[in-house]
Order: sequence, then structure tokens, then C-alpha cells
Amino acid sequence: MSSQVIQVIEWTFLAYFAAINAAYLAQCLLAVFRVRRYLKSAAIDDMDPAYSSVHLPISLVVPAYNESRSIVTSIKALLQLEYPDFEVVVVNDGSTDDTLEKLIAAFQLYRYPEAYRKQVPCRPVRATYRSARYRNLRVVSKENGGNKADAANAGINVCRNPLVAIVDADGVLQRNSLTRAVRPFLENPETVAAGGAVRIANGCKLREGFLEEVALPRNPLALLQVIEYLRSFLFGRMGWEPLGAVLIVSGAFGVFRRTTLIEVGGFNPQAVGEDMELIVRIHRMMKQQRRRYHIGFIPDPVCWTDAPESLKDLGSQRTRWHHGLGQALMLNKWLLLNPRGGTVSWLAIPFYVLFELLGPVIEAVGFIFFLTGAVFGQIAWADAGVFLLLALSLGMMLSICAIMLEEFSFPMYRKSRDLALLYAAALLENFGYRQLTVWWRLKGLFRWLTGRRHKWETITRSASVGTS
Amino acid sequence: MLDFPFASGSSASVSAALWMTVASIAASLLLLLYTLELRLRRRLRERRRASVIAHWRAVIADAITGAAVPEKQKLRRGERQEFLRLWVYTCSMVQGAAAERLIALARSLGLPELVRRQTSNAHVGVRLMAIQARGFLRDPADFAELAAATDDPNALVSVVAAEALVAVDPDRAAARLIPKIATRRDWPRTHVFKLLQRAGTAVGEPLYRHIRSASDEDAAYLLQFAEIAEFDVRDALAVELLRSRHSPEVLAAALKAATGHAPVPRIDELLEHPAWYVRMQAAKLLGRIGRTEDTGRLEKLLGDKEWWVRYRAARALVRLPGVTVADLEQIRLRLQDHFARDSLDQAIAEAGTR
Repeated sequence: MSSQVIQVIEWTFLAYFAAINAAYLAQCLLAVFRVRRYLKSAAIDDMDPAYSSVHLPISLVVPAYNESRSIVTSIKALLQLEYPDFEVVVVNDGSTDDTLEKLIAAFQLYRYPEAYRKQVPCRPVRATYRSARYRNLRVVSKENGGNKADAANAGINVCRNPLVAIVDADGVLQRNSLTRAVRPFLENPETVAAGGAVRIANGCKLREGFLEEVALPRNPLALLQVIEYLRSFLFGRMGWEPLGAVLIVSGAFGVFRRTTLIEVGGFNPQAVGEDMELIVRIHRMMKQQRRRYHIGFIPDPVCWTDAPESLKDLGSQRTRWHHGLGQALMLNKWLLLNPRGGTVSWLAIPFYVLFELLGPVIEAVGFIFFLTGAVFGQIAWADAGVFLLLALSLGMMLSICAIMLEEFSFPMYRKSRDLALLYAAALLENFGYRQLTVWWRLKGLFRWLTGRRHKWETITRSASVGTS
Repeated sequence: MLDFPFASGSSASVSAALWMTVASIAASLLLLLYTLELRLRRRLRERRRASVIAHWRAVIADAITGAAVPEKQKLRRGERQEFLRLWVYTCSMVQGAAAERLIALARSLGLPELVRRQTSNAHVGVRLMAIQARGFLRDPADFAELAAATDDPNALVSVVAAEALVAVDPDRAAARLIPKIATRRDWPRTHVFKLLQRAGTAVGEPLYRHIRSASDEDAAYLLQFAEIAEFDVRDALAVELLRSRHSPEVLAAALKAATGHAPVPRIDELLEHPAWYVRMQAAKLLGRIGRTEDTGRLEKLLGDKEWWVRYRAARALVRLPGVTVADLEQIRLRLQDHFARDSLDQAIAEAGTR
């Protein structure tokens, strides 16, 4: 290979590195401003409860498939949330274990003829139940739809409140999560959906489904994911919010206006990443109809989720996420560089295509190029080392940026030891873990291109979540 | 060109990469130091805050119970917001002599001047707290400024100002706020109810007068607050509007406001009204005031094309006096439409009659 070709390739990688990191840093900066504004307005919550008691009724929809181990604890915790007007609708998606039987026994459920309207498509409902103990609990038992989207749709059909929160059955909510999550809807009547920061529950101490003590996970894989979540939620999403271009509201916890969900046709059961696909589709619908709308994001940690602790589970999750990303972007390709799409079409979607979807391809090609170039004597080992060091240092800088944002906004890890561990993780993730995620994302990309289908996925739970 | 020993003589791209690496490592170190500083400052702030709260909580507790408050208490600059927060929070929970003593304490510390200045603060949180405090201070001299604050474009600021205004002078506040309620649709309804309730009897007559002369849109909106009145006053207003107005929104709101203590005009017409929400409210009303003779009317509505009308009709039917489980079973058997049957099944189950 001629040295000129190598030069061109090196400059291309350098330009890509510069572009991707500049984009992330810009997001970080935007996130800082957004968090500052949010923290100022959060002062209202500290006032007389009368002023934070402006509520909109919410229906919590909890899709559940084979959640026998944790479902009772999770639902009990949800029923204790601090919010004056909410109902919980559990959707048992044809579980093959005793999820339904456990619910019936724990909450004294009885069958009930529910005359609901089927407004979004889902598999047939077998029965609806009400609880003799909790007036605001209903359970829908339906035929297995094979995925969370179908179960969520059944819940949307049955629920009655103007706001619908889709909550993972194994998610742990803060007691005030609903009060926080409803704020974007109160502050801006054009809000159609809102999400909050999701944090990792592994290592935390739980009692009766609530967080008792925040701690970092002992499992190294889960620890590395803490850094990833901080990056993803604190500036990956916060940064897009002021631009009106939030493309993802986490499936673990997201609040939606029910009318919007119905209008857009609910979740897409064919979508692998149903959460992202829904939000991108909402953007598309609103842009196509030239309507004003807002998708909000709050930096408060509203939901804690169980991260996979084995390479197999993590790999499968990341492969699925990347598959879902490709599919969501392709299904809504109308948005890409569309003159009517604003920042979504001209900033967010190109960013996701170039840096998120194709990122692993570029990273893998770069790694292979420099390594083989050095092995075959085309590139000096020192030069290849410089590029690898650059990739490492930029990755570390972004992670440290995320840790700074965490400290700046809602510091959860208070011990000095935790901070040290986070810094260590920010450094160590570059050796092995980052390369593994590139590999899993490449697999996801391949699956999307070959059009594989997706089913409910069971992840082995860590010891902390799901126990009473 | 860089003069790093291992990269000397390398191409421009490698040099650029090296510079970027150095810059990113330096930025990482700076961010790390800044994070540590943030943590340190937060800890110091939390410690200081805890000691301020402990001190002033004790002073406020003494003031509430009437115990002698140590003299020469001085509110330092850094303590003001914490004290104000504590004071406002406590004021929201006490009344009578304790509230008066809290006002006296606030005056002795120069709080009225502070909150007067803060009412125009750029920070919404500070402004809200100041306005709320002025409400608890109940100083008539504050009325004009608080009234002006009810025009604030921020819904929360304006509604908090309205509440403070009611606390200062309920009668004058009622006269001033009632015309404003229809124009401030951004005020949370629960707060408007609270405002009207706090304003007490002063509010009834001006509110009804205003509804009678309001446009259809405003009347429909304001009618939802009619339930603060006595049954007979409310019914008289609802009946008057049902007779005189034709807007579906007003009709639905009037049906909702009616308690049924007075005969409701045009009920048959309203049960067949083209707007589904009027039919729904008419069915709901029959659920409250209906008799056995209304069974046929409601049975007809069970086949309505709108789910809410079917559901409300079914609930009303189940509640009708004199309608037995056997009657409901007969009606169910007569129904051809499965949507109608589903609604009736649900209403029967909800009423626990099965």
C-alpha cells in the first residue's frame, strides 16, 4: 500500500474521530446548560407540597413475560409510589411460568368483564382481572404476542388515564418517579412523551422493591455498564433535549400521552427496539402533519434497572439494541435529511446513522487497518500506537465528562471509593470491553441487514433485583 | 512538528493524532480535577446547610410554641433562603396564634423587605417562594404588587400570586380573580378550586354572575368550578343555561354541574344530541336522578357508537332505583350488539350485583 493511500486513510480516521468526539462534547455542553436550568426549576419541588401537587392521572403499564420471580415485589412497589392518581395495569403476555397465578394469589385478583376499546393492535386478551385489595390494580392476561410491544399495546388499550407510563416488570422506580416524570407534561402542554435517566441497580441494596442504598456493582461487567449508562443518559439524551431531537425514551421507563400513542398506532410488534422505533415514529408523524410537539427528558434518575452480568446476556442485549437501532432508522427513513424534519432530520438522524449505527464498522475497520498495517510493516508500530492511544484517550475523556455531569447533576455515588472506581472503569473499559461491544454491535448490524426476527428475551437477574 | 521521541519523523496525520491525544488527556485531567472540586464544594455546602437548618428550625419551633425566642437573632445573607424555605413550609401547616407568632418572627428578622425585593427576582424558584411568603405575611400593603404578579406569564407564578392574594384579602381577591380564571386556562384546575374554596362565600355570587354573561366557551370552562356552590344555586344556574344555550360544550358542562334537585329541561333531546359528550353527560345525569321509567332511554343508549356513552349508560342503568338483577339480565338477553353487552357486563360487575 502506498504511503499516500495510508495518509488518506489516516486523515479519514482522524477526521471521523474529531467529528464524533466534537459531536459528543457539544452534547455534553448542551447537557450542562440543560441540567443547570433543570436544577433551578427543581427548586419548586422543595416548596410547600401544594405547589408540587399539580398532577395528571397516570396509568402504569407493566408488560410481563415469565416474571414469576420478581413480579409480586415489583407490583407491590409500584402500588406504593408517591403519586395521588395512578393505576397499575399488568399485562401477562401468555407467560409459561406461574406469573399469573402468583399475581392472582398475592393481590386477590378476580376475573372481571372489561369493556375496553381495542385502539392499537395486539393479540387477543384472554381475561382481565381486578384486585380485591387494590382498587388501582388491574391485570390483563393475553395470548403470547412474542414481544414486549404487543403486551404494551394491550395495556394501552385497557388503561384509562391521559398519561401512560410503560414500565419494565423488573425496573425499580424511585418513590417520586411519577412526580418527576410528569413535570415535562405540566411545564409544556405540547409534550407527548418523556423519559428519565435510567441507572443500574446491580450492587444497590433494595428493600420491598425500593432502593435503600445506592452502591456500585461488584460485578466488573455491570460496573463498566454504569459508565456507559452515565454517558448515554446524561449527555447522550440530555444533550438532544434542548434541540428537540430526543430519539430514545428508554423502554425501562417512559411516559406518553395516551392520545399520541393511539394516534401513532402504539408500539410496533415487529420492531426489535420498540422503544426507539416508537419515538422516531412519533417524530415522523408529527413532522409529516406539521404539528408542534415536544419530547422531554428529565435528568433525575427515575428508574433503576438490572444490567446483565454475563458476557452472553450482555452480548445478546447489545446485539438486539443495535439491530433495533438499524431497524428504527430504516422504518422511518423519511426523516433522514427531510426539509420538514428540522433538527431531527438534519442533526439527530444523521448523527445516529453516521456515529451510532456505522460507528462499530468504522472502529473495527480502523483497528484492523492499523494492526495489520503495523504487522505487515506498512505503518510504524509507534504510529499505529498513537492512533490507538488517541481512540483510548478520547473514549476516556467522554467517560470522565459523564462522571463530571453526574457529580454536577444528581450525584448518586457519594463515597470517594465509588468515584475512584468509576474513574478506573472509565480507563479500563477501553481494554477489551469496548472492543467486545464493537463486535456485538457488528453482529446486531448483520442481523438487521439479514432481517432476523425478535422474541422476548430473558436475562439472568443479579441477586439484588426482584427479591422481596 | 512535535518532538516526541517515539514519533519524531512521523507524518502530519500522526502528529495531529498525537496533539489530539495530548489535548484529550489534558482535558480529562482538568475534568477530573473539576469533578473533585464539585464534590468538595457540595460536601461543604451540605454541611453548612445542615447547621443553618438545625439552628433556625429550633428558633421557629420556639416561635410556634410561644417560647421566648432568643433576642438579637440575625439572619445572615447565606442563611436567608434556607430560613425562608423553613418559614414558608411551617406557615403552610399552622394557623391561629402560632401563625401570628411566625409573622412576628419574620418581621423581626426583616423578612418582609427581603421577600418584597425577591418578588422580581429573575429566578422563578426564588420568586415563587417570595410570593408565597408574602401571602403568609398577610400585609394589605402587598395587595397591589401581588395582584400585578397574577398577570405573570408563568402559570405557576401567577397562580401562586393568586393564592397569596386570597390569603391577604379574600373579598377583594375574589372580585379581581374571577374574570381572570376564564382567561388563565393554564392555571391548574385543582389550584383554581382551592382558590375559590379559600375565598369562601365571597366568591359564589360574582362567579355565577360572570358565568351567566360569559361567552359559550368561557361559560363551559367556568361551569366546572360551579360545585363550590350550594345545590340549589348550582341547579338553578345549570337549568338556566340548559334552557338558554345551544353550544354542546355548555350543555355538557351544565349537565355535569346539575345535581338533579331541580327538574332538568330537554333531557330527551340531550340524550340524542349529535355531540357524544352531551349524550354521555345526559346518561351520567340519569344515573344520578333517573327513575325506573328511564330504563328504555338508557337501554337505547347502550347501542351508542361511542364507548363512553355506552359505558355511562350502562352504569346509569345499573344504578336506577327499582331495576333488579333479573331486569338487567332481561335487558342483556335483548341486546343484539356485543359492544352493548360488554358495557352492561362491566357495569354490572362494577356494581357488584352479580
